[in-house]
Amino acid sequence: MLPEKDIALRQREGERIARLNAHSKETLRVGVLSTFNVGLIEPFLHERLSQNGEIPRFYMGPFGQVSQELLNPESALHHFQPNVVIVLTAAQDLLAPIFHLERMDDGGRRAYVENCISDLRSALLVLVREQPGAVCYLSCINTCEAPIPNVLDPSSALRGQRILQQLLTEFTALSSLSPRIVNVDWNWDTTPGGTDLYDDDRLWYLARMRLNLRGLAQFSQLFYRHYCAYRGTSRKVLVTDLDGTLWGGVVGEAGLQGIVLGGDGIGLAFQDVQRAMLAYLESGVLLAICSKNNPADVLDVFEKHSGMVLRKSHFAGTRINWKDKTQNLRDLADELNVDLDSFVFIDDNPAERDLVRTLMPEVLVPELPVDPVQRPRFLRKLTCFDRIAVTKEDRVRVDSYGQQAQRMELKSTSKSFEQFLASLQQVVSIEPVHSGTVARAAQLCQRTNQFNLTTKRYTLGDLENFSSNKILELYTLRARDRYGDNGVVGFAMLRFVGDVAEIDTLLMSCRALGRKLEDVFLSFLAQRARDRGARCLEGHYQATAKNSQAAKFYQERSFVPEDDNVFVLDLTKYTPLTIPEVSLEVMTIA
Amino acid sequence: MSDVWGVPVSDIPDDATPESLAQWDSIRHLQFVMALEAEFQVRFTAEEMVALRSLPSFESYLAEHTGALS
Repeated sequence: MLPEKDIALRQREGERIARLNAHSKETLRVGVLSTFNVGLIEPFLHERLSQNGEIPRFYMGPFGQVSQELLNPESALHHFQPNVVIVLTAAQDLLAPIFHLERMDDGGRRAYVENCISDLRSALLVLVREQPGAVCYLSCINTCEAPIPNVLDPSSALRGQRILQQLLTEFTALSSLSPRIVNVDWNWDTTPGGTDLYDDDRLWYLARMRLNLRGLAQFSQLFYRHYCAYRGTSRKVLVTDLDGTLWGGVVGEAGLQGIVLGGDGIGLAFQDVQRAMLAYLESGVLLAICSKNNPADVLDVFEKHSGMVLRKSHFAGTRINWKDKTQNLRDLADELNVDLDSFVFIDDNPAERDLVRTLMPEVLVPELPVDPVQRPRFLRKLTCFDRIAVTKEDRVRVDSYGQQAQRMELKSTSKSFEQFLASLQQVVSIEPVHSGTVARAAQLCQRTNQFNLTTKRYTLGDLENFSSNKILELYTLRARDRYGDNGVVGFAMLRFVGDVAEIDTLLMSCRALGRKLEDVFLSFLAQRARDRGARCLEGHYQATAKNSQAAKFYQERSFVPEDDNVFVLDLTKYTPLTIPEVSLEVMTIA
Repeated sequence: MSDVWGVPVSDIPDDATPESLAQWDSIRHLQFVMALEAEFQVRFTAEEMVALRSLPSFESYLAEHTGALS
């Protein structure tokens, strides 16, 4: 819960930033629609979004007209052309007749909920269609307040709890309409603090405001979490210390049975710390160890201690030695092929935390509470691993790092690199972007840093737009090998202008690099461009802080540099490359 | 006051009312009330929030309930 002073602080800070930015060009256009008055929310949203460097401009819809504003393509909201639309509803407003206790039988109530949801559904579909650049954040508050609360049996029709549960179920299902609709679950986030903290009856009766300043600040914070998660800026790797972090005490001194870890008391808190980490693993976060121990002691704990929740196999990388932790973190980053700015470092020792914080500011180092019993909740509440939903690729990734270890083993036993590649039995399939892959393609555009030739951060809305543009062709690359399916790991976009085909975007996820897949992709693009009548293929490179490894990519593949950023391949003299180590499946070109 | 209404203090007359100060609309009125509550640790009833409609009336209310401005 936000402390009182933070609320006033955020409000003033938001107002200050708004004045400061009053004459700057906005970076984000935020439309706010609600079933009740949220006229005071602007500074809170302003303050949150400025954390991300955004300069938002707002359109505040007249409250109580959510469907009208969404349904009418000529409405002020549609004219505003928002990138973000916040739809904030309250159960009491959506189901007003039920809360006003109008006479209705159970069937009538259910039909009322269905109607209400179907209205919202049509309205949201218009938004998705008319505003291809917009992401909608959808929320319904107060779904945990029964219309007749003194009837206590939750299954009683009179109490109205069931009808609210039906509303909540169907309301949350609205996000399945489009990947650009994101559910912001207010009730689960706020109920532990009690919802009455967030409203003020005076404000409701005098101004139709259902949320007080604390409520608006809390909602803005919750929205911002979802906004960041949707943008895909969350961290990917959790690196943990061992002694004092995964268990109490020092195993090298206390011995296997002397460490604090088990089903009771403080030992349980350490188990719950491990469970919190396991939950992150389940959601696609990689776990790694960085600790100062004798490896044999640690192996003993993993293999013999009955209190351990985490297994050795849960960790994608381990550095158990007496070296400097920053050196180990750097090694882990290399091994996992993930940048340090995707790392979160958990350590109970303040000196180690300070060291990492000072020498590696890009690594996030949470201030772990001194008291172990406070740590499980602390870890569960970290927002740096937020994601809207877990994609198939996220889950595959966790497995694929285990597979990566096997691949490395194979690499050291194979005689040549080519033999190694051939023994992987790689199969690549390239296909035009379609509704099933567009979300993953956008995710790759947002997240890929190293092998990304132009680093254009296209959003889902952008890509959906591009798909209907005749001069653009969008492709994804999926890779599998004898160790498993890597999922969609590459994305490219061709632009046809006259007899020139430009490679607007070419990127590959780092876990698929160094296996000639990028050559397969490029060779496909060249053939495709030639088939469509292009005489030359133009590769573009835009340097960023992180993609220097790709700077010579085109040059090394017989493209002729025109300047630092543009490289040209003459397609009339081009003979397609053969890459025997990889078999290619090209799916139907739409 | 200047924060709430977004005008310099010097532009706010001592006897300002919603009628005499253009920026004093209903939503700013509520913001003003909440700012006073936070500043002076008082709590207005809904009726008081509606009834108090000028700077002098707020001043005498606060003087009565906190002694701060006396």
